[in-house]
Amino acid sequence: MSQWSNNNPSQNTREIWLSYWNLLISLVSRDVRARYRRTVLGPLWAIIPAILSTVILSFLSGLVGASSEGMPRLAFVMAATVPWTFFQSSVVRIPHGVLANGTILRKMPVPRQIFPFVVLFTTAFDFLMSSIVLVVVLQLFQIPITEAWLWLPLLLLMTGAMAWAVGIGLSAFTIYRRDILFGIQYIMQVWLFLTPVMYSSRDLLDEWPLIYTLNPAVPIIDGFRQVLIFGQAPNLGGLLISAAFTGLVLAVSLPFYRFMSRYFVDVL
Amino acid sequence: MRDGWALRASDIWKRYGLPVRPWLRRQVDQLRGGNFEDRAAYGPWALRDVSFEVKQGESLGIVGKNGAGKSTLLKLIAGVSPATYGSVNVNGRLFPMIELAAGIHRDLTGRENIKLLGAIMGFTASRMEAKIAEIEDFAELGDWLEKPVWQYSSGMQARLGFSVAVNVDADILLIDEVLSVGDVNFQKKCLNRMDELSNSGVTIIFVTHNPYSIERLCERAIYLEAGSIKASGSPSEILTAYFQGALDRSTVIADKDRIAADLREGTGAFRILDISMHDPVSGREITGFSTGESVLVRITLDVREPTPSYRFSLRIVDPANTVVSFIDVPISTRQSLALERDSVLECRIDNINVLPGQYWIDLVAREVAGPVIDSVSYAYAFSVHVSREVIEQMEHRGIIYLPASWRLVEESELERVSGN
Repeated sequence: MSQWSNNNPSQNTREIWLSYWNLLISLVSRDVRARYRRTVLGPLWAIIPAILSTVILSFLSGLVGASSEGMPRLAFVMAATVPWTFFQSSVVRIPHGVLANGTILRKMPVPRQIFPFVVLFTTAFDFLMSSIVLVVVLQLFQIPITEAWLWLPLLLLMTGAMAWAVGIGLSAFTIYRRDILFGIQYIMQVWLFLTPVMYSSRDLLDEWPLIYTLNPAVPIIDGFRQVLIFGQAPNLGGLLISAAFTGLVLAVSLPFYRFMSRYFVDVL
Repeated sequence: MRDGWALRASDIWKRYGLPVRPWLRRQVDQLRGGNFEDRAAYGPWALRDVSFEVKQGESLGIVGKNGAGKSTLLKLIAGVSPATYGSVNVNGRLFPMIELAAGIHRDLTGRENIKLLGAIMGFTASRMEAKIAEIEDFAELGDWLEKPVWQYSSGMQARLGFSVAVNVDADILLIDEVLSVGDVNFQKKCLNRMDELSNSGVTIIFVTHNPYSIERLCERAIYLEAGSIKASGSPSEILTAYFQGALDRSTVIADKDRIAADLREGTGAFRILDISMHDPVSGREITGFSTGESVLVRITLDVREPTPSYRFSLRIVDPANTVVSFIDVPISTRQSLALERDSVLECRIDNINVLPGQYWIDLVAREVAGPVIDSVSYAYAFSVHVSREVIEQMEHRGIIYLPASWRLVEESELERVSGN
């Protein structure tokens, strides 16, 4: 069936969901494939950002003499950098995702909620590719795979959900005024320094307990490190706070996004 | 299901942008006890109070000049932009054939793009699989399908977009003058395909600024002006209304006082001050007439130096800047037009056989030896409207109306010629 509007008697629910799914997959595959097609390194660009960030952040971490809790610094930093990169690039790219698909929006009444998911899936692809490198690095440092790794899907889901909740709020605002597009990367940089990526969460707790408690990214990002490096379960209480934060943001940003998305074509 | 309605637009008003600020203004006005029911005050409105219905299987044309609200109406029907007031209801699968290239990614190959466009149009993967051979066949791109689209010519890109669009199954097609794509053969193929769809009972809504094209494609039409429906009815009724709209807007030389006229190029032995058109019988000034009528063009001249001999020409051009006709003062007449003092030059044109539309008059005066004395481009705008007998023969489009008649040749006549 060839149409998206909801008052269409000839479409059944299953067919509609299949159309949604096909659109989502097609757009993700477009972005993944087309992105690096005219580059020399090609798909390697999916993993390069996470690797470079790891190297830079490890260097900085060593420079300031931050503790890596007795673990190899590179592995210690990378275990938090890879999920953080997923979170950061999702938040930064979701507002761009809507703008970049303006021509499609002007033509077909495609479901507007799909574009943030397209970005999320694309960055998740990069995350999975980077994860392979991460696993190799962990093996090199002889850090074992434990049953604690079963927490990873939940952590990944929570990272994605938080990025989505924040991202759609930002993109709804971006439709109205473009300031977010310019400011967001600096905000994310500050957020990175307030999150235990290049230093340990214990140091954060000791130095700035308030930020440790209030920063909703801490339990998730530190959770990845606890699972991957120390083979321990994440801090469940902290994860609940993160989930509550995501829920709260969503309660505002989803209705906001829905309202604004009706007017995308008018103001794009 | 062929006897019901396909599309219903009821009292739609459209204002672009977010509704927040007008809403606030309205609340404030309401508090002040103002006339907050007056919608017109909360504009600017791209559409005002537009209502119409399209029956299933019908083809409706929407005509209007630039800025009349055609594209806005199209967006509302397509469902990509919401109406501020009122509603658009669609009964069936509607497919908007607008911005066909939208969604094509330049770094992907033609084949990858076909699948992508299909997904954007709402196909499931399995339906797309079933359609793809037909689409590739229609596009006639051959080996190019494997190449990235950034290497395509613009015609090839358009072909790619169109091929997916016309192979979609839809009950209602929304068409926005997209047919000017590709080469002549491909255009013909597209037009045939449209006819095929129309004949198979698909409802067609066709939006255009060219009023003649509705005659070919539509059974009924509406004429939009400044966001409102000015007229609705048969295509020929709409044509009449359309050209009546053009009638009221004749303009005359902008710089007609003596000082401004001197700023124009030319030697200035005399200056063209004014131009007007008159009915040859009553002498009344007119700004428009019907195809085939006669007209007097009067040109007021401000003569500075006596000019015994000069060349004068009047040029009629259409909006596409095609010269319809050059009308020169013949050499034999030149002597009788010698200028001594301020004069009015008159040119009688018999039987202007241009088809309905807007036309411009350019004026150029030269010395016999060559240098320009004075020239005014777009000196005058006039409109030609339709007369009854012309409209009946209006299957022919173009610029010129050629009276013609048709019959079958008798066999005996043919024998007479060949038996010679």
